Amino acid sequence: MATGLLLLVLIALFPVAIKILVDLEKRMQDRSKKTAHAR
Amino acid sequence: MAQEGLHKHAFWLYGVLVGLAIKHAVETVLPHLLAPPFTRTWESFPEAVRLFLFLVLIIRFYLGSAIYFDDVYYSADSDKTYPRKNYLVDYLFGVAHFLLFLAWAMSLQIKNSPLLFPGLLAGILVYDAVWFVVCRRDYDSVRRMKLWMLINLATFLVSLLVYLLVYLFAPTFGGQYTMPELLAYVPVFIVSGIDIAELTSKKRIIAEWLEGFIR
Repeated sequence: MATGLLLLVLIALFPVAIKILVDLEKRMQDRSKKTAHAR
Repeated sequence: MAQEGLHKHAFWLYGVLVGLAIKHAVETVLPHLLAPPFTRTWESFPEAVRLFLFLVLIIRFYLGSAIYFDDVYYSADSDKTYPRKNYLVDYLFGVAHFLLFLAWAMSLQIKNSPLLFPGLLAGILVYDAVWFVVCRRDYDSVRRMKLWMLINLATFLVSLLVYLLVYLFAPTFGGQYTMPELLAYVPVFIVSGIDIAELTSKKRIIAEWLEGFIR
């Protein structure tokens, strides 16, 4: 049962990980835009 | 706004997960209810209550997610009302939620773990809060989910309180965990009934009254 519950926790946290990646991508895009603008 | 065609296909996956969960729940419990293997027929009563609760809650969450996506992504003024939002994040939280429902359906009849079914119910009710906490800084769409999140959290807390009070002070009935579990489902039934009624009608009297408090 412990393995099953661990799997459920991982499933529940998967969208959180995707949200972090989405934020990271947005931050990188913003930074590259700022750099391009400064040049 | 996400592509409407993509949303149609994406929502089919929700439908498949919901369908699989309902199929599993009905197939495992209904034969027991129609021809109980127990010596006393009332022993199948908790299973019937669990199945009914499962069906009510999964229908409520499915309708709720349909209305959420319609309001936040596809209504006429959705881009003005909710300018900051992310379809992928919202969609994946929905997938995870319905996968939890699938696991919940499979825990309907596990006899040697009496706390698994109520535990997974608690997880389902609290999961909206995880969604809210993760998205609250970056997305305006949290405004649409705030009331649902608070209602689910309050339902969880009231049910937990009922469970603990009955477990500690009431006499046992049909097993150590049965009576507290069944009474703890009462708030979930009441809230789900009201929510389904409001989701399917255009008059959201109680929801609008509650929204007045949290603004």
